[in-house]
Amino acid sequence: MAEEGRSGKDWLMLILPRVLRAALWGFIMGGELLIPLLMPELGGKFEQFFSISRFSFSYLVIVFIGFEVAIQLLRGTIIKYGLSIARALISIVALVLITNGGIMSFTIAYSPEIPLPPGLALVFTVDFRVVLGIFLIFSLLSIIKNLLQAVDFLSQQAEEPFIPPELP
Amino acid sequence: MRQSIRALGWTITISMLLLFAFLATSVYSMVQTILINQGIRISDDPQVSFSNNTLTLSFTLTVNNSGYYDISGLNVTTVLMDSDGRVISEASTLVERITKGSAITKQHNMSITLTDILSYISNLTQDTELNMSISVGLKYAEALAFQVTMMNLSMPWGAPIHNFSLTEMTPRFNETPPLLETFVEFENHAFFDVNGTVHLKVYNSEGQYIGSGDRAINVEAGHGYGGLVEVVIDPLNFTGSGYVEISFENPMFGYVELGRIDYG
Repeated sequence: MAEEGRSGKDWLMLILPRVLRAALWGFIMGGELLIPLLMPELGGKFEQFFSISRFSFSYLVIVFIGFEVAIQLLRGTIIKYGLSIARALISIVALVLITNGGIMSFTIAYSPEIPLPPGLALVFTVDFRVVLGIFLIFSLLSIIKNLLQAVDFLSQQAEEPFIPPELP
Repeated sequence: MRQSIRALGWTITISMLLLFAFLATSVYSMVQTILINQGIRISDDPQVSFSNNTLTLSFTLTVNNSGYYDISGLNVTTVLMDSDGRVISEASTLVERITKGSAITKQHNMSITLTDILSYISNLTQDTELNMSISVGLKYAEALAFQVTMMNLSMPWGAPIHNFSLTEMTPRFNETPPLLETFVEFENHAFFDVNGTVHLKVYNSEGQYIGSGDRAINVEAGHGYGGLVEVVIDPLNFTGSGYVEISFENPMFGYVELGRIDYG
């Protein structure tokens, strides 16, 4: 009944803070990364080091921003928790793929910028499987936390149903 | 339940912050120690010594850990390969732990017997290049492992019988027995002295064996040799042209065929 009486301005006042909040969180949770990535000088070098065949780092950041915006827009609904779990799962898979399971190798050969003796090649290998493992454990804990939050949210809804005023 | 979830959330957040703080400090400290302060150094030009038919390359490894965390499992490996990439020799030096604020100096020695080298280098008359790779691996702060490998470092190999040639052949038929004086030249580009016997087998233009001669030689490292080898020949079969089969023999190389050179 109350919804029928709302004008366009009322809807705007209700939805605008949510959209602004979503935009702000989207920027904090990855949007700022896009600025250097989209600059050809910096972005190109970054992509060179993290050359991923199936992913582009910029696209991955865009996906994460999309998730954050959707999570913020759908606050107060069960979908938020589903999206949070999906984001954690995607971050686990993406991190393992991007970092080649925690072992990354870079080869530096002669180039005009790197004046190494002709024929000489430098191979750097970084093994951070321990750190990656700990990070993945935290991501799994985050999934468990979101699951528990979803259960709590549902039980609360069963006791006292609540629909956010902004949502139809 | 809500309190438990909140506690779990805070635990994850704080743990993540601690993990990122650890990562940031360890990476910063490692970059400062290794790249900026150049805390790990291997001498550019190794000390070379040769005794008992064994060549020893000695590198000085200096590590100064000025960072916030310990370095463990520091491993220096050098691999010597021939021009086809076959491994001639490999040596490793392991330093178990360099605690923060401490420094160590250690020698990394690579020993190669001449027999090992000569089993991979068949041509003793031509200089060549050997390939070397140096690899340094370490674990920083017990969590981050790094390995840097420098590949295709070239190491010159000087031939012990470089540019072997017969410059002059003079028949002396009035001698008893009849001789063919052959002037032999080569340079010892190797890092060791060459002692042994040069064998010459002379054939005429029809491929018929006409005589042979030997000469014991002793050439110091880096010096040239020029001398006469007297070949006792059968003057009736000497046609003035043909070819000479050359071989060299010593305890180090064994019996080595150096090829054949036409004369006349």
